[in-house]
Amino acid sequence: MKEKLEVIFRRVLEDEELVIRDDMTASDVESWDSLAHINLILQIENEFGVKFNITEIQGLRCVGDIINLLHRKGVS
Amino acid sequence: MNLGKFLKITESEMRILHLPIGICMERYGKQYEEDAEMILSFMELLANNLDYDFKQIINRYFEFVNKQIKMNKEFLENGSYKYAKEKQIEPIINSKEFQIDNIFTLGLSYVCTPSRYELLRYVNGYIKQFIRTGDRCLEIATGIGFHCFCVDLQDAYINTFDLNFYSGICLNILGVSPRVNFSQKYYLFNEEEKYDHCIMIELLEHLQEPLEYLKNVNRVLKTGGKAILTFAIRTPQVDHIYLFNSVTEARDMIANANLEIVTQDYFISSFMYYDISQKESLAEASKYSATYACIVKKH
Repeated sequence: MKEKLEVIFRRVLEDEELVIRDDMTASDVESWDSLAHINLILQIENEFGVKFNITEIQGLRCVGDIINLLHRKGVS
Repeated sequence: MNLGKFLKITESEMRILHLPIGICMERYGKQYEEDAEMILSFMELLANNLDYDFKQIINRYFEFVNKQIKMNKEFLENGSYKYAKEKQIEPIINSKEFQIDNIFTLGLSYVCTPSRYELLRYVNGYIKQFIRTGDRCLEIATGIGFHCFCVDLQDAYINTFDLNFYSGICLNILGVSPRVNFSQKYYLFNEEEKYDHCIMIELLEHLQEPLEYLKNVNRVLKTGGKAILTFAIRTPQVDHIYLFNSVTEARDMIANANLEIVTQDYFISSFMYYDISQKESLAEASKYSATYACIVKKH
């Protein structure tokens, strides 16, 4: 799952060298701005066949939060 | 219309609007829900008045959001706005289609954009705190008239100017008193020391020479008069022509106009979580669009 997530992050943030970490946040990546954030969420939803509600999206502060949420949604 | 119904209407292809709405709900709770209901109900009345179905208005707003996303991407790549001269945007801003879309966007963005909602609260806070019965106010850029409505509630007078014909319709729907005088034209600053307050919200970035406007604000304010101003920092939009690159630039311009900052605040355009205590530094960070707002007085 983390590999697929990294592919999405690299594509959206336009950085083929990017290596995601659990504690990575938007402030660590220059290209991770507001628009990229929306794109990340939409592409993660599409890729893993899940839908996040407002409260869940609000809780996403770092990559680790996204991974934990995907686990809770049954994605392995 | 309440927020729940709006969320339901925008459930499928417009789900990205739920993200900024969620930010507002988390930060402002019940107050935001009540304000959103008021604004959405007003937008429904406006839609009916203009013979639009409310869903059509939401669709038009959503198209604007998508165009804005593309424009933001171009701005990040090029580092400049699309236009830099008033002549270039004149045919755009004078078109009926643009004016209608502008009014719908102004209204719905108060509900769907955290920074716009926060700005509305900030300006209304200024009006309630500083504007007194009988005060004379000047507003340039009426928009959908919410500030005029608040000034009217304070039993003060306001001359308000906007090039958008539909601003006048908004004021009629709001039912403002004759203390509110709307003119669909440019304000020529042909008065001296007449006003206790000047309100210029989301205006300066639409001007080729915002410094001249600020110097004129100084001239039309009475001694002791105050103005509330905003500056769009790194915020591309089809009708923005003056690029404020930083808050520092805005502050320098205020000083050059011989105005003194009394208080200031920052509103970050972001759909991501950010620590609100960091907003001053984020307003200067190149990857964020921001609005710098301040209350100034004559020196």
